[in-house]
Amino acid sequence: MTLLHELTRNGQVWTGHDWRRTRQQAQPSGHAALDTELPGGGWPLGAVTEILVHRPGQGELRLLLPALSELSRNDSRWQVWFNPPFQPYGPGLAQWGLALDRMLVCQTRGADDLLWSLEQCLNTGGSQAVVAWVEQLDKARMRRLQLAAEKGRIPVFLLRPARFESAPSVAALRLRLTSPGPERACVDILKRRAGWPVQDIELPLPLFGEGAGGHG
Amino acid sequence: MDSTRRLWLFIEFPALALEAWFGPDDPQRPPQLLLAGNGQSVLQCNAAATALGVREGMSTNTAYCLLESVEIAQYDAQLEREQLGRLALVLYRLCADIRLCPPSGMLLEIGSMLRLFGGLDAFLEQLWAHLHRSGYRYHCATGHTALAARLLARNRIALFSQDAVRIRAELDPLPVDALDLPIKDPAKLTRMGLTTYAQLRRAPRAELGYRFGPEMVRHLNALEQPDALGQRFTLPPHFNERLELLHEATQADGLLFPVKRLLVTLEAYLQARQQSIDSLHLKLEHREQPPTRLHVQAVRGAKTAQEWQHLVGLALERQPLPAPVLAVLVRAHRFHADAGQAGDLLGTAYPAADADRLLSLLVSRLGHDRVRTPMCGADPRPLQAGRLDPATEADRSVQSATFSRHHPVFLLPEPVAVRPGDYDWLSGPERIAPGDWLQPAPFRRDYFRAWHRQHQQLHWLARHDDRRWFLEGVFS
Repeated sequence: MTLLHELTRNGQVWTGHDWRRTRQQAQPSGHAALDTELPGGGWPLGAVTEILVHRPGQGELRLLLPALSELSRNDSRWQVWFNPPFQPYGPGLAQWGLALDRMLVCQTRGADDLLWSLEQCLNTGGSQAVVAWVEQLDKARMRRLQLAAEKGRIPVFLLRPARFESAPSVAALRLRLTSPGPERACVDILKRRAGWPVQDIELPLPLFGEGAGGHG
Repeated sequence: MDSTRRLWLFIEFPALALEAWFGPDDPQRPPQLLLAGNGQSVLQCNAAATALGVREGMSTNTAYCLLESVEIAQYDAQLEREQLGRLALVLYRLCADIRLCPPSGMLLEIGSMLRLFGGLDAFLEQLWAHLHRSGYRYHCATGHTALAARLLARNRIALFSQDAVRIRAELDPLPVDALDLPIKDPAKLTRMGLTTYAQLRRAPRAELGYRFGPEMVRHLNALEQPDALGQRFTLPPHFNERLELLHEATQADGLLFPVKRLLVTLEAYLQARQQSIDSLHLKLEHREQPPTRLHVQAVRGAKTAQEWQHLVGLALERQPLPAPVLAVLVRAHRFHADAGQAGDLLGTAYPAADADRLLSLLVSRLGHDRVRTPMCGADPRPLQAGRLDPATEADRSVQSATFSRHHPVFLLPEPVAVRPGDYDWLSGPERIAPGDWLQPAPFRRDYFRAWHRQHQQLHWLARHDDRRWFLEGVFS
């Protein structure tokens, strides 16, 4: 097997016409229409995913929660949320099937604390997934984050205001989420591995999860 | 060999008071002197001072003439005694019966430990490794009686044997003034022609008793018949150690090194007790200000000094020092049995241990109240049911079963008044009205789900009895 074969197989190199064949470890997002467009068929494990929203609370959690609750039920380590814009509400989260006893909600004092904590989450092997609401991010340190996520095979979700859309980012996957209606979402993939950007993926975004008993 | 036969090992720390003050000696140190209480003579000195000609017992003035620069300290019996206790703690792993012989000696009954270690040589190897790691100077020797071991160690005869005949052979040539005899004037014995222990041993005991008193007889008997010395060392019920800093520490960095010394002692203490702790209290004393207190937590216990040092480092980073620190106090209580870590099938990964470590790190850096876990209580009032509790204290057993109620995932910490005109209504009302027993002021709310047209957000609104509207949650 040639080196090129090997790299292609691992998803490090891809060709335009057969990107669907590259293998990347992923966690199904729970949204069928989105999964078909995401490399590996879901949120990448071991990579940084950046989700841009115009205003916090526009459905970004409903987009992530099916995958997050699946992860939280199947892994005994921590799921860590950093600096959520509002107070995460236990009963509401439990309704999505999230295992609350494996959740940590952290408030950091500054960018230094946040980046340090994120790196610890990825390097100690003590977390299963990380969600962080962030604004400005130092590019060099973001690169470190991406490498640490790859090494630890842990999905990292950064939720950022949409005004950072044109800021350069090393995230493996970048999405922009808009919410045209109460239970609908529109996702633009701005950047993905092994593929071109895609516009206007329409998704139903139900208000409530299927709960812990639904699947898994 | 008779397994119950006792064998004593005496360890003498010749520079204990000096090293307790300055820390274990190392070759880079400047000359250091420990002066006797009156300040007139040198009680102990370190290797650098000895190399320049200072001797113990020399007058202070003579010593100053020999040394260009020197660090001095006054003898402090309390400090010396505390350090002896710390050393006993380190050796407690090797030997259960340790007796402290202040000011600077320690007696170990090792006869009963030899079978466990597989012989005297194996035991000594372990012992030396521990003593060497502590960094303190020592002399030791074994004896068939406690007093014999002490005499050999104090006379720096490093004899390690279980053979009483050999031990006596080493004692025999000792001059009478090296025998720690309880008499005022050993010269009196010399004048009687008794110059060595061998001669003294053979002299009629009753006659000696008549001339020198019963103490003398008891002393000589103790050299031949088993008898214990000193007070038996027991583990203190709590860990409580204080360290005076030699230099004021103005920055957290400067504190880490001295704190490490205390943490190493803590590690020995925890190993001796076979227990672990999950929190540590640090008190940093200042000259005038009230002390700074720090609380460091490790989830499910950390045992090694290194782990604790890392956590203490993070906590110190977070804590600005209001004034220079003069002394550090480390306190630990609430011990729990040391449980093994559960690994995966192959024993190569320890997810639970990794998760605990991560939580400890986050708590140390961010602070105890900034790392929280969402709760799911049974209280009908949303803000009470969905509290965030500090993760290290959260009682995870009270998480109630999955709620069937359709509530949002985000709450606002404080409800915000809104205008109902901005919204499209989706559903509602859901009335929450718990009984008066729950809280004195009546709580009755009607909850609605509504779409905020301009913000494109799905809100959870509460209508109060007085018809005012509040935003309480967001379906993010």
